[in-house]
Amino acid sequence: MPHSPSLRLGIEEEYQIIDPETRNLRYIITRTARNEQPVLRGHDGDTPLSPDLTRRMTELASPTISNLAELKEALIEQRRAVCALAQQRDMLMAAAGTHPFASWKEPDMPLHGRYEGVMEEMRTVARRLLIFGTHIHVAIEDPAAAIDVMNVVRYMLPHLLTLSTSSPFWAGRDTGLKSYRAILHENLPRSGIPEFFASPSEYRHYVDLLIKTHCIRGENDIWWDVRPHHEYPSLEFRLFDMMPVVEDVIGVVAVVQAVTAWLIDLRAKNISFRLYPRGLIEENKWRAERYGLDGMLIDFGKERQLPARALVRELLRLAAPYIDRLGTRREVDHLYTVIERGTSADRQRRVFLQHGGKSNTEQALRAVVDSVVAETMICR
Amino acid sequence: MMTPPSLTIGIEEEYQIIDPETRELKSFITQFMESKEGAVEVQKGELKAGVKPELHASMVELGTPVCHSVAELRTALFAQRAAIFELAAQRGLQIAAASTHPFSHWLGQEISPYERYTKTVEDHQVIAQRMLIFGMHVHVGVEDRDFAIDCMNTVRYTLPHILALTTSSPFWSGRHTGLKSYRSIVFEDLPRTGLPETFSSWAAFDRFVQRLVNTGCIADGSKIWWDVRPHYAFPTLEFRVPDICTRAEDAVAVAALLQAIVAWMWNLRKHNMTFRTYRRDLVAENKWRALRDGLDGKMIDFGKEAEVATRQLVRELLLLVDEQIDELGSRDEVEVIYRILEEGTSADRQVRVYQQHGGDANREQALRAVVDHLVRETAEGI
Repeated sequence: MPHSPSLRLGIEEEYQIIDPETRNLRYIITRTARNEQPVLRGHDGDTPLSPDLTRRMTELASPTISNLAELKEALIEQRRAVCALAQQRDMLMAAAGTHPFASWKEPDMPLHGRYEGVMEEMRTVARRLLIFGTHIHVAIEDPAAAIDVMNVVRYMLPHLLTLSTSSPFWAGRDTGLKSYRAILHENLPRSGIPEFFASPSEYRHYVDLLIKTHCIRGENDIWWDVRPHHEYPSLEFRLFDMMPVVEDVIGVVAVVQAVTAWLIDLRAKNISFRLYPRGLIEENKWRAERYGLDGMLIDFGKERQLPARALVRELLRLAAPYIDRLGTRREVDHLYTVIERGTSADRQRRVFLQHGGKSNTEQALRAVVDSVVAETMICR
Repeated sequence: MMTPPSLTIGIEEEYQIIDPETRELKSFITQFMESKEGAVEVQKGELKAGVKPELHASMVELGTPVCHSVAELRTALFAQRAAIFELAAQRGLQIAAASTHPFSHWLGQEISPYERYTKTVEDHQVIAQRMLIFGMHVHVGVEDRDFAIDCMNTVRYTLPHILALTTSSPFWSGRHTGLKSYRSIVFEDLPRTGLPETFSSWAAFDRFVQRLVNTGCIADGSKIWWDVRPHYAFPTLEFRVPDICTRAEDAVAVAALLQAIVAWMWNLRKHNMTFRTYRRDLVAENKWRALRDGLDGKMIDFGKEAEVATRQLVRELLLLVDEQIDELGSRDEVEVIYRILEEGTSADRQVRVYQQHGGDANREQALRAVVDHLVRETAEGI
């Protein structure tokens, strides 16, 4: 009997640093693809972060924290440090999946760090990736359990995505979607919902084959919505938009952890959540990207569409015993507020419309930036 | 015993309507539709022969009738292109066959004023508006539905090879993307696109479609837009992976190759053999390489687990189906593929024309030159 996983947590965030005059994007705080060092990236290159912030970001990324309250504290501290960095430069800070109007075509836009090594290889596809995601790590030490959870948890990814959407605008336009970032990210190869793997060795064979045939330089070039991490003994959930409000982030982390605990527990009882074809799960992912919480998702067991809100609430109910066991009830309860009132994407669109929407696009989008900045910088 | 596939063949093409002055795309489909010549009857059970609107009003779709040989297809496709050129010329317009327009921006485009398309835009928002892309669909008659599924599973392996032979969308909104088929990237923003999953039988596939219909994802099978699919109305396997070939001759050659591949799969099956089914995510690696590098790159031979020059892999594919080419009597038409291997695809020639006219330093002029080149090449031989 394998040891039960520690379910320790880690989190990586990518921040937008905003010019207070123009409200345009000036810098990105992200990790380099090469050595995964966090950096401040401008169009003219990288500036190293302070040793303190570097340490914070590195520590928080690795799944070492078991206590959610502790994780929250560390995340707030990290955001405070980023805030201070921004303010030192007379800049603002924002946490959202896209910037409402920054265009990747502008010559002074920073290039995204995560994909820098593949710029040449990815061409226009990579240049467009001015997007910001949250990565959540949950430690599952047994590789067989990790692959099993990866297969099964695919079903829940659309539900989870609806809780984090924050990228309705792109290059100055209302896309009509809740998470346009997800669409952009899927332009990359090896992105989106992974295929099924029967075992860790099948996964290993896949990775080795791609390395051997020069498709990837290393396992880190696999960018699925959920993946076994190449270094940490964790599953990494990469599908989330950056969320401005820390409580939202922590709520999502708590659910991801509880769902993982649930699936592990099912496994120990010789039960599995059913595996559905990836093609079906993708229908729900599309709906999550397009409509977020306002849409309908499909319950494939019942073969019926139901309001996304109801299905997300159901997921929270299913995970409830594990939420209690992990002692994260309070953090998860906040998500009921999110479900009721909507996500950052909904708030952004509301602000946009309040400021005249399409008939006053420029001003309205600046107001959107202001609102995201205000929500993000509250931790200051 | 399964019925052998009839291997009938047909092509649908989506053309660009071009304003000869500005070289921009021109919204004109409603005028085409309302014209007497545009309204051609749809024959039951056959590919549609007649002008059809597409999502954008600057796009016009035409399909050949069902053809029983590649020679027949060749005649039909050339006649079809001649007809559309004629229809356009009468209104002082031109036609280009390429999967993207070099510089016309999707933002300025009119959506066809038909409910089907306004609904698509409502459902998919900015994603649908961006679909200013032009495809070519090749139909091969495969009557036995279980064989259609079997063939769909295995034939996925060859789709990157086919795409590499047809790339014609290196430009997007006035930019050189650095890719050979940017259309493939844009198209996959829609759900139910790209390489399909595998299915164990027709019943399993049918059940998949029924589930999507029952749960309100799609109205019917026509909304499944994979790179290859069993057609929802015709008894065909429909290949949607290619970019549209600018030269009609290239289109015929690729259709003939696809026909031969299906015949080859049938032959293997008859002998208790099958082409191996590889994981979708592995085939997707080759598709990525094909859309990025076209014929100039390398793809992976997953049997050998090695990278091999794409040109060589295409040559190998031609050799594999050599016998079928003779049986089908399409040798002359398929030979054109060797010319494509030598001279490159439309994408390669477009980039060449662009560079010859100053490239990035002289972008506007150079892109106009690319349009002129496309119009000329689309008319070649018709």
